[in-house]
Amino acid sequence: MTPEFARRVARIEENLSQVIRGKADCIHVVLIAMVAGGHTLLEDVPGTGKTTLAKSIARSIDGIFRRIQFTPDLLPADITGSSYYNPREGVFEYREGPVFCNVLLADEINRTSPRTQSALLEVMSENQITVDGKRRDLPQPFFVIATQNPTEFHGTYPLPEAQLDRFMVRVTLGYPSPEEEIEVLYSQNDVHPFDSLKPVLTCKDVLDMQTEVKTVKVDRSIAEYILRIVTAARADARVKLSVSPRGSLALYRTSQARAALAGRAYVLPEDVQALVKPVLAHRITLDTRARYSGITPETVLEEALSAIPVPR
Amino acid sequence: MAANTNTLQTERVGVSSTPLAMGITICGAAMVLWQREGRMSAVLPGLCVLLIASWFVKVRLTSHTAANLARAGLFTLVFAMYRTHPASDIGTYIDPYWLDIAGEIGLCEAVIRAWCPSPRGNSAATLKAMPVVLTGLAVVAASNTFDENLPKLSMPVYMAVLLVALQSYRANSNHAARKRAALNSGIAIALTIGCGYFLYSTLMIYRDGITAALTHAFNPARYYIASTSLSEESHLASMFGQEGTQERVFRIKTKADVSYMRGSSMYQYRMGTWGPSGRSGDRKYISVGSSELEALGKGEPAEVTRLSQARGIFFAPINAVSLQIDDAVNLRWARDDGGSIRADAPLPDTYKMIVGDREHQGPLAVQPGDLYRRQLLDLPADLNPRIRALALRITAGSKDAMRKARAIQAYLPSHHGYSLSIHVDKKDPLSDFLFSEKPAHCEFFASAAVILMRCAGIPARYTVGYYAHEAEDNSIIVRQRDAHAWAEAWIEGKGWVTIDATPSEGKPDRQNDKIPGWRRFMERVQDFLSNLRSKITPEAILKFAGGLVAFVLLLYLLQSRFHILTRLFHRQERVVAERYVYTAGPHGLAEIIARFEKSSARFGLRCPPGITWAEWLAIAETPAVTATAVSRATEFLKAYNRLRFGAECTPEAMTSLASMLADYEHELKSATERKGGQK
Repeated sequence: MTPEFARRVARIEENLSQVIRGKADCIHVVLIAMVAGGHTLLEDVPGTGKTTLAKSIARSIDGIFRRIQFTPDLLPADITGSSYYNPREGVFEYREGPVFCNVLLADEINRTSPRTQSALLEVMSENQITVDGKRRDLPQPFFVIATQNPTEFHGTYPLPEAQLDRFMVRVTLGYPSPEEEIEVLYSQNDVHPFDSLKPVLTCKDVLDMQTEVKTVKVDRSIAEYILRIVTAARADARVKLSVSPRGSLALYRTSQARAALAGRAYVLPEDVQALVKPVLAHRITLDTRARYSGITPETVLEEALSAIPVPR
Repeated sequence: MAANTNTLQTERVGVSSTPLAMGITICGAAMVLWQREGRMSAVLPGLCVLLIASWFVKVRLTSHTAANLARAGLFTLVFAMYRTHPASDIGTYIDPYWLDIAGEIGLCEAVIRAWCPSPRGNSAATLKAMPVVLTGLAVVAASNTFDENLPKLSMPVYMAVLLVALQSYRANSNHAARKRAALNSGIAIALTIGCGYFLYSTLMIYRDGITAALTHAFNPARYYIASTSLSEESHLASMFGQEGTQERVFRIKTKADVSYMRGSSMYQYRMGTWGPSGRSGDRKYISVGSSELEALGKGEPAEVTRLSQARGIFFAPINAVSLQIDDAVNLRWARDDGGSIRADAPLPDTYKMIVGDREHQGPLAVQPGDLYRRQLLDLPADLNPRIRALALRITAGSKDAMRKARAIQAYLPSHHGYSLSIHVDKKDPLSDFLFSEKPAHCEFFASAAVILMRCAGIPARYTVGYYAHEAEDNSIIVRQRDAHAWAEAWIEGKGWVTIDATPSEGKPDRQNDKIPGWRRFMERVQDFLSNLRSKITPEAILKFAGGLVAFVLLLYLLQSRFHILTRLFHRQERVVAERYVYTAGPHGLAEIIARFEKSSARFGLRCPPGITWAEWLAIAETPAVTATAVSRATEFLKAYNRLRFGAECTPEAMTSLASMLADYEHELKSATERKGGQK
C-alpha cells in the first residue's frame, strides 16, 4: 500500500471521529464498504447517529450529499428524476433526481413501497439509471447509505432479499457508552461538530483508493477460506436462503479493503473473520423454526467460523 | 445481551414440555398404582404438582446453590414422607422399599431438572449424568443386598457425588465464577450431608406419626388395611381380608400336614367383633425362651422361611411338637389365652418346627384354665335366642362333644355357599348370616362355628392364620390371599381340635388362585437373591463395601477426567471431518509453522483450529510462558503471515523467519529453566 493511502484513511477516520463519538469499529466498517465500492445498510433505532454519519462522510470526501426521506407515497421518479415538458422551449427536459450525488442517504428505506425500493436496485448495482429509455451515469464515486429501523413494523415494507443482497455491509451502530454519550452532550453545547467539519479528501481520492484496494493480494488459501465459510453457511440446515456469490465477492472485496485500511498489501484470515458478520449476516434468512428458537444468522456464522480451521 | 435473553427463552421453550409430560406420566402411574395395588406414596402427588407447575411458572433455579438446596430439601422431604410399607406386594428383585426410594430419587431428580435451565452448550454436563446414574444404581444394589443401616451412610454419599457431578451445570463460567461455584458446591454439599442426615435421623424418630398424618391426609380409607389380609382384630365385615394379595408370606418345607398355620386366636365376641386384639394391654404376654416351646415327641420336621416382613408373629400349626427359634430372639407369648407368639424386629428369616400327627397336642395346645374355660364358653348377653335353638337342633342327634362339633362343622357348609363378599346387617351379622343362608367368607363360618359350639356347651375359640395349600417344589407356599379363619374347640380327652366349617371350595381361595407368570418369575429371582444373601458373610460384606467405596471413587475420578477423553474423541472427529487442506504457501513455510506449533504445544500453547494464532495469543491466558515469549511469538507470526499470504518469499526472508522462530524457542526454554532454577 502506498503511504498516501494510509494517510488518507487516517485523515478521514480522524475527521469522522470528531462528529461520531466512539463507534470506531462501525465507522471502520462503513469506510471499508466505501473503499470497496459497496453500499452500507445502517440498521438501528432512531437517534443513534446514522444520518450524521452519512452526512459526515459526504462532507469529508467533498462530495455531493443528497438525502431521500423514504415515505410510503414516494415514487420511483422521485428518486431517479423525470422528464417534464418545457413549454417555452417546446421540448421535454430531464430533471435529475436526488440520486445524482456522491453520497446518497436513503433514510428509513423500509418505509417506502417495494416498487420504489426496487428503483434503487439498478442505481445501487449498476451505478446508472435509465429514464425514458436513456441511460445516464451517476457521478463517481457513488455510495448509498441506507438506514432502517428494525424494531418498528407498522407501515413498513421489509426490504426484499434481492435488495438486501445489494448492500455490501450491514452495520448496527448501537447506543454509545455512557462516557461517549456525555462527550456527545458537551460537544454539541455551542455548535454541532458537523458544522465545523472540513473536507479532507476529494472524490477523486476515493476513486483512487477504490482502485488501489483491488491490488491487495488475496492468497489462494484465503479465497478458499472465504469459500468454505460461505459453503458452510449454505449447507446449514437452519438456513432457508443463504449467501449468494455476490456475497462471497463482497467478502472478498471488503477483506481486501480492510487489509488496505490496515496498511497491508495482503489479506490475512483475520480480515475475513472480522468481516464475516457485517458482510454475510444480512444475506442469510433462517427458517421459521430456527428463528423462533432464538437463533440468529450471526449464531450460524459464529458456529461456522469456529468449526472451520483457519488457513495457517 | 439481547442474544442472551434469546438463549434463555430458547431453553424455556426447549425444556418446558418435558416436565409436563413427565408430570402427567407420574400422575398416571400414581393412579394406576392406587387403583391396582391400593397403595400410593404420599410424595407422588406433590411431585406431579411440582413438575406441572414448572411448566407454567417462569422461575428457574439458575443459581447452582439454589438448585442444590432444592435438591437437598426435596430428598429430605422424601425421607420424611416415606412410610414403612411392611407388606408391599411389588415382588421384584429389588425390595419394594428400595424400589420406591430409587424411584422417588429419580422423580426428585426429574423435578429438579425441570426447574433448572438446561446446560446449554456444555456437553460435559450431560456426560457427567452418567456417573450419577451409575452411583445411584450402585447404591440401590447395595441397599438391596444389605440391611437397612447401609442407606443411612450411602444416601449422603450418593448426594455428595450428585452435587459434585452437577458442578458442570454452570455453563460458560469464567475462572472467578468457577471458583465461586466450587465454593458454593462445597457449602451445599456440607449443608446437604449435615442437614439432610440430621433431618433424616430426626424424622426417622417421628416417622410413624408423620406417616400416619400424611396417610390420613392423602389416603385415609385404604391405607393400613390394604397392607395385609390378616387382622388380629376381626370384624365381620362385608369384604373378607380386604383383597388378599398374592404376595408370598412364607415357604414351608415339610412333609407333614401344616394346612392350618395359626397365628392367634380370640375368644371374646361382641357385636360382630372378635377380641381381644394382639396389643399387649389386651393380652397377657409372657417372655419365653425357645426351650419352653419344645416338647418331647415325634413328628415331621418343618422349616418355615419368612418371605415377607409382614409382622412379628410366628405361625405354626396347633399340633406342632416343638418350635425351634433362634435363641437370640426375644419371644413373647400370650400363652394362656391362645394368643400369638411374637417377637420384636429383627425377626429371623427362618425357623424350624416339628409337626406331630393331627391329634397331637404340643406346647401350643395349652389346656385352658378355669377362667379361660369360662371365657371360651362365654356368649354375648344379647345373643339371638334363635342361634341357641339352632345349635341345639344341629347337635340334637350327637352324643359327645366331638360329634357335636363335627355336626356343626358339617351343617354350615351344607347350608351356605362361599363368597368373598356378603352384605349383612351390621348390628347382628351372625344371625343375618345364619338365618338368611347367605353365601359368606371364612370369618363368618368360623364365627358361626364358635358361637354354635359354645351354645352346645363346647369351649371354642376363633382362630386366624393361613391355610397352607399351594405346593411348589417339595414345599408349600403361603400367600397373603391364603389368610383364613377357623374355629378351635377344646374337647375333653382329645385336646384342641381344629374345626374348619368353611365350604371346601372356600379354603383354597380359588378366586385368587391363578398366579401370573411374571410373578412366578419374579419370585424365582427373589429366591435366588435371598439364597445369595444367605451366603454372604460379614467378611464378604466388608469386602463388598470396600469394593463399592472404591467403585464410587473410581467413578468420581473417571467423571472428573472425562473431559480428557471427550477432548480426545473430539480431536479425532475433527481430523476425520476436516480433512480439507488449504493450498500451501511458498516452499518451506509449512515446515516452519509446524515447528512453531510443535514447540508451542510443548509449553501448553495450543491454538484451536477455528481462530488465528494472533487472536488466540491476545485472548488466551498463558501463565506457562513469559510475556517476552508471547511478544516474540506475535512478531514471528507477523513475519510469517507476511510471507505466507503476501510478500515474495526470498531466501533472506526465510532465514530471518527461521531465526525469529529460534529466538522464540530459546526464550521458551530459558524461561522454563529460570523457573526451574527459582524452585
